[in-house]
Amino acid sequence: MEVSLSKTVLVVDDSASMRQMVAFTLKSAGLVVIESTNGQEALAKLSTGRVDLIITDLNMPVMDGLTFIRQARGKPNLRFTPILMLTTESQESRKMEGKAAGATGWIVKPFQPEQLLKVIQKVMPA
Amino acid sequence: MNIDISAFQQAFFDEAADLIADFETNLLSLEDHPDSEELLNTIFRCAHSIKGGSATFGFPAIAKFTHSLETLLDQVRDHKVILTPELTALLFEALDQVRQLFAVAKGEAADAADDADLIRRLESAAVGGVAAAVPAKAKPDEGWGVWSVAKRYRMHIAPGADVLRKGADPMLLLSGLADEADILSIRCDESRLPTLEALDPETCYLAWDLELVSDREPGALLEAFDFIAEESEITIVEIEAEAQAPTAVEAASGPRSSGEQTVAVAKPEAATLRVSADKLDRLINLVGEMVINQSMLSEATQNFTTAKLPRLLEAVASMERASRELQERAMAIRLVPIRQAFARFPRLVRDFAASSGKQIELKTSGDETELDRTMIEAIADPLMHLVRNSMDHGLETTEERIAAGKPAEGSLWLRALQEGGNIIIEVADDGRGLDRDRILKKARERGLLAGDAPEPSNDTIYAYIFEPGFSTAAEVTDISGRGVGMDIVRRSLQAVNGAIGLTTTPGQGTCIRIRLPLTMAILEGLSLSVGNEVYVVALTSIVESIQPRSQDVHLLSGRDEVVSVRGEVLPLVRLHAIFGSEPNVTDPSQGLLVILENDGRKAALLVDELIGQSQVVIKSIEANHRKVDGIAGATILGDGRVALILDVSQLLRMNAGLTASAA
Repeated sequence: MEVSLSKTVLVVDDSASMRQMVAFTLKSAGLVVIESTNGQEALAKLSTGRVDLIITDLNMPVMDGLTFIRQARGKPNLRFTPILMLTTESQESRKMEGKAAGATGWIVKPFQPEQLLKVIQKVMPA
Repeated sequence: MNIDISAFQQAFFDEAADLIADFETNLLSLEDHPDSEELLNTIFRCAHSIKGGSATFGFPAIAKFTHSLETLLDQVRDHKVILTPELTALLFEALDQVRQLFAVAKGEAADAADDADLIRRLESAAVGGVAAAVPAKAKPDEGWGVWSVAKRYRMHIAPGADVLRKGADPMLLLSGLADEADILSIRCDESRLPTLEALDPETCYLAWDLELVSDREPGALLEAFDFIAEESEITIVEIEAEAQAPTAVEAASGPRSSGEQTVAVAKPEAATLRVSADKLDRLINLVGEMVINQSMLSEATQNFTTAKLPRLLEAVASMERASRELQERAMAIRLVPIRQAFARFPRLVRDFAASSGKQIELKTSGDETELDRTMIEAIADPLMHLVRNSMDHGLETTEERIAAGKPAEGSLWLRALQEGGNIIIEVADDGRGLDRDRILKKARERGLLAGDAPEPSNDTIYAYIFEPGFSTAAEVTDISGRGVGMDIVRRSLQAVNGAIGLTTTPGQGTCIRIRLPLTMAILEGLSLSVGNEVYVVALTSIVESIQPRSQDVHLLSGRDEVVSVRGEVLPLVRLHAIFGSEPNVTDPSQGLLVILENDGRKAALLVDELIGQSQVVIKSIEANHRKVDGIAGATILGDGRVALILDVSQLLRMNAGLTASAA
């Protein structure tokens, strides 16, 4: 008996317009989207539920993306959840920090919605 | 699928406006706390977010400019570049440029100043120059990467019948697996379970099907079961990243056909208003209440008999309560904190102080006070003018202040508070105060006061500064004082039913007090009648109503009627004479006098009688007919009659023998 549910993606970004754009893209692809404005809020949301993918910005107030990724990887239920980080080219070194923190992959801003979906396809298990 | 990014531009503009404001606020604080890492980090993040957003939402010019700004800020926060006053000034300049670039992006300005030089200066301020700017468009095949993807597995574990006897515990083994993988689902296969009579407690009958996610290789996951591997049936299969993933992804990566479909997103309206969900919820609750009231009313009026009267009255009363509350709450949606109007002043004061050499401290209070959104917009320019006036003319130079024995630093206050149905905004300074004699001289020169007339009261003299074209500024500076000052301020406030007044003490300072109604659309008024006409006067301009004795009414120089009210002599205004209506009462001692006050002027208005107090909805006459002197608008009364709303400020000015307007 298998229960199939729509995939859920958590989008963590302090920018409302960026969340709106990413969320719209994901919803158009049939995914369920929940949003958080910073790492701390995201962890609180994740403590009660499971998501299939996390997309997070790095520069955020309260709790930045790298701290968030590190803390998420410390939680038993988030060890293997794919985490995609949104970065900018000027943060080349941050990519390596992100990898060390446990990120699954990265995508550089600005990106086209189609590009985002392509990367998601790579990182999110079927 | 093609997603139209421009649909999100408005959200980005709103956000950028907030980021720019934050940038400025924090940069201003940074001047006082240059060592604050937190302020620097916030400023950096603002620049970073503006850059990221503008690149994403299609504004390469802004992205390019903020890139150099961001790089510099990054080095400042890493202490590679020292924050000097010159650098702060450069950052302010850059911020202004960002504002301009957004104005262009929004179509509010035609062109922004060329920023090549500014970018060069930002770059040379940064150590080792600035890395190449972000490309405006992402390259199609770069720009993303994946390090390690956890794989999804399907695992079947059917332990051998003897594992329990061998001392193995399948539960323990499964929880060992959970250390290496995330178990998404687990299903117990009990098909081997015999009937109870046949059950041997030491035999393992159960098997499990699991779905798991792990970044481990399948072999590593199987290791957990090495102990029972021999006699058990354990398989693990990777679930391929099937193309079934998000269905739309396929369409997205497919070739663009001619029938390409653009996802249409309703474009948000240009003027958006952010409303807290809380306010909306309460509004929706009330609408629910209204619906209940409505059905109570229908019920009471159906097959109406007098026996139902109490119920009808009750329903009407409760409808009235709900609709009044609904009105208040609906109005509250348009209320925004006045902070938004105050936000620009720290920067203005800073820049003025820097260029004039005056030391000025700005103190604000009550910036949480809420005001109608249109009102906030309407007072922005008047406030700006008043603040500039205070800084330019009110506050003395540092030398003058020291010579006068005052603190070297001048104070400027911006205060907001609610007083009943009004919002009071005060702009105050501890400067030199208004020059009474100079205003008096100017008033005589300009014919506002006859050359030989006796000196009026101080309040009247100070009120002259609100007359058209009245300015005592000895010289015009680029900050204020073009002689078109205070009357414009007063007129723009009157346009939103506001009033302005002032108090001043020579050598100690001036306080300008603005009084604004909470909302423009509804007026708390007193209805009064003259003959067959009904007029409405804003409650805020009424002091009291009296019935005078005939000996209190006098004629001055044979023409001007005055009335003495407890020793105070006020001009008597016959409303019927102004509007040419036919009154029932012409003898003041038979009618009623309504004492009005506005802008520090007072007068007694003769009317037939008072009808009552009510809230009226203001309808514009100007928009439908033309401006009528002394009339602020019209309204429809409960009984269906039309009543004119008096423009008290203008009435008083008309009576004072002044022209109604400069025009």
